[in-house]
Amino acid sequence: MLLAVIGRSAAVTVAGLVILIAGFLLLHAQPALREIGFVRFFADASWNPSPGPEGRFDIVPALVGSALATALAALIAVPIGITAALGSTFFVHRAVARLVDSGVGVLAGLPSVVIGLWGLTALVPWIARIRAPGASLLAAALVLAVMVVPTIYVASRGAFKSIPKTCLDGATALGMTRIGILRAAVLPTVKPALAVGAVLAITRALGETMAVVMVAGNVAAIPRSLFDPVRTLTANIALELPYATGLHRSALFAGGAGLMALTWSLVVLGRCISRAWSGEHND
Amino acid sequence: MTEARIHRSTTSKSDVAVQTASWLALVALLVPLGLIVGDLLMRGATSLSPQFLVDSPSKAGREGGIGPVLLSTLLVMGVCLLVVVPLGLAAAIGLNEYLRRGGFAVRTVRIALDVLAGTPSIALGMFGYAFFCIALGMGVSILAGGLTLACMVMPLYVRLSEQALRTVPDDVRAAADALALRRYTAILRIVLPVAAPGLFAATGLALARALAETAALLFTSGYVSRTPGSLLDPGRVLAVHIFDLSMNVPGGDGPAYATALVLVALLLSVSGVPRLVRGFTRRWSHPV
Amino acid sequence: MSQIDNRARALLPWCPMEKTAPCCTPRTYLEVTDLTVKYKNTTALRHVSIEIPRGCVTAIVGPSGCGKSTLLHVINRMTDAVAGCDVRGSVRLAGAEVLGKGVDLRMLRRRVGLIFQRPNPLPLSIAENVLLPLRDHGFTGREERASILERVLHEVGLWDEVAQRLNAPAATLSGGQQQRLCIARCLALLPEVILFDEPCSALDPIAAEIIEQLICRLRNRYTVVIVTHNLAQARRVADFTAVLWNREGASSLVEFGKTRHIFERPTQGLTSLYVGGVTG
Repeated sequence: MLLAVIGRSAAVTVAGLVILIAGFLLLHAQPALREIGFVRFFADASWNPSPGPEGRFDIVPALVGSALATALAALIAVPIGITAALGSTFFVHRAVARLVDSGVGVLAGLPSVVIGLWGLTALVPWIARIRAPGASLLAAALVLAVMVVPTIYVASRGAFKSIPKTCLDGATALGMTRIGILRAAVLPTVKPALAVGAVLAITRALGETMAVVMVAGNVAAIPRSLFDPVRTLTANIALELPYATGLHRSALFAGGAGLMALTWSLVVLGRCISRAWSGEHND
Repeated sequence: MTEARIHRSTTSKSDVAVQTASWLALVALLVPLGLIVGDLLMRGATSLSPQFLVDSPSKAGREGGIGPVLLSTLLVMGVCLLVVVPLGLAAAIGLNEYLRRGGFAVRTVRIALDVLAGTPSIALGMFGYAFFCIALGMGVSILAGGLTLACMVMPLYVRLSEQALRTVPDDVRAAADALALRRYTAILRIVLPVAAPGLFAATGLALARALAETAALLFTSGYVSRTPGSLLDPGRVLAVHIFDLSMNVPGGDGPAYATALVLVALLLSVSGVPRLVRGFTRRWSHPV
Repeated sequence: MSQIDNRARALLPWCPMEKTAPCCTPRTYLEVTDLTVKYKNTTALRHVSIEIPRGCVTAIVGPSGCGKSTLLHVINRMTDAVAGCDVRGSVRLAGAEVLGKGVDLRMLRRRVGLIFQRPNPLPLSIAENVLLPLRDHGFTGREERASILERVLHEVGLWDEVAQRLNAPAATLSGGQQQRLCIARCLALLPEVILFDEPCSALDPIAAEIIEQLICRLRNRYTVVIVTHNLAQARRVADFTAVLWNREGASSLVEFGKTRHIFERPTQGLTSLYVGGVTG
């Protein structure tokens, strides 16, 4: 009996955490929202959060930075991840596939600081040779892509593996080309899973902080080219929170709350996709 | 789950193209891995030595070692696991064994877990700072860091534990039902032992995730690189040390790489051990 | 068919087929009345009524998929755990209703044991498979439990085979031994009714034979209901036989009576077609 109570209350506690988190973030964001007001976050001229009336809280550059970096990373990672998963599942020797799986596992487990370290010491100088300063939107996107591609690979691989052999056999017996077989037997059923994988990857990329901080250059302005430095929302918080006080800090909390809301909607979106397209209960 | 190969039945150009494309993708996937691991080994191995693991950092970390950092890491992980394992296991048992499948409670908890899992770690760090450090008065400390990490890692652990619990075959559960065993007897004496290897794996993977975390700990367990005296002292974990060395300390790249090597080695061993445990316990599980 | 009859007769002299059941005037012990069971949208059983006599072996036969297992699972309310299962009608055990609210399921499942189609020993040692349920149901004395263990293992004929390795995992036993272990742990709880759901279908013929002998030995002390799709088996072990058939999408009872009558002088045309091997 005791175990039942413990079990049920633990489950509820875990769920309650989410409410607690949202609550505290909003609590600390309150002052900024009240005093600065929602509109100014988008209308101010720049991000210059000094105390006093000269403070400017334009969050648009950071938003754009996050959006661009994430979008580019997805653009790179999604095709590579899906194609690689296709290859592993259908076209290469089983031993090779296992090797790749292990490799991706290791890649997925690498801490973001380690990837950021590599980015800082190897990738950025390499980009700098093409165009200074090196720490740029491109670097951020590449590093994010590296971090996010395992998610896509694993999600796609799972979806591809679950296709029953009989289904493939039917298409093969018709003498179809590989692309034809994929389009006939594989693609129809895996679309939702791939979409969910992509949403998961985007969620992860949006929330990534450390690697981006280390390679993105962190200038709070909208980048004009791939090689311009950029600052994301997450980097904004990570760099300034230790030194921020008062209204500035509150503004950062507001940014954090906004980021949370964004990722939470993405998570819900992902769940809706998987439920709607596959038609069964996502439990 | 069958693994099928699509063998080439025609020699059309599209077949070749598809083959080439997938090989290219596989290479593109593994090249960064090779580069990163290669760099780690090349640049990190030179600064690594047994002394490195024990000494305190000096000259802002350019010299000396990572002794206190290792200790802080150990303490933070300890606090995290001490909270995550009991609470997470209880929640997994509650979800899998006691709450009605598909009921309102289960669906709500699952959405909550998914959402929690998707929360950016920096946001969790801010929450940890606001809640544990300020509201609960722990200040920037190992304790606050461990608790924040627990929040971060909890969804993963609950999901993995649930998977482990579900590996118990249905007919064993049916047998327990038909014998009208009390629920908690069935769970403690049958379900948990069968699920044990999976649960160990879950702990290992959760620990690996926690070790890799930086952003959540920046504001909660702190930057201080001294040896912590108690759980309420601030302390720096390995990941934060790497960050500091590479971003704020000119010439800190060497020790940064060495530390990164230590961290990755730790990660690999922590995720690898559960696999060995699995082998030993096979004899007792139900022959399916 | 007659070859199997003769051989069966030779092996099981105490399992009468020609003679009537020892309980000459059998009293009804388990009464199923107007039972209708639906899973979501499909009806498994429709208006089934059977009276199971006490102390006898009753076989429930019929083609595959006609709800025989469902009938058993309803009796000890295993169907409670199945989502979307709707049970209507009445099942009475010694007069008391089993299907209502407020029925003590633990007590019910002690009094009515269920043996599954595939042997499902608990992932514990051989001894623990019997001892754990005993402990859980409140048998506190260690001596008492040990003696019960020995008794039931003797009863199912396992004692000689496993006495030396009671602490070995149950998973190391053969299929037939595992099934006997499952029967043993059921017997340890002193049931009144034992339900067998196609107990031999997952076993080789020799192991099946041993189980059948065991079932015959259980007669008189227990009320046995055995579901089987093997007509020869029903002839060998059962005193009474019920024939279920799938009609209009759901299963219903076609005929019920003494086994000899069902096989030699059935009253329903469908029965004679089925037992004659013509249909089903």
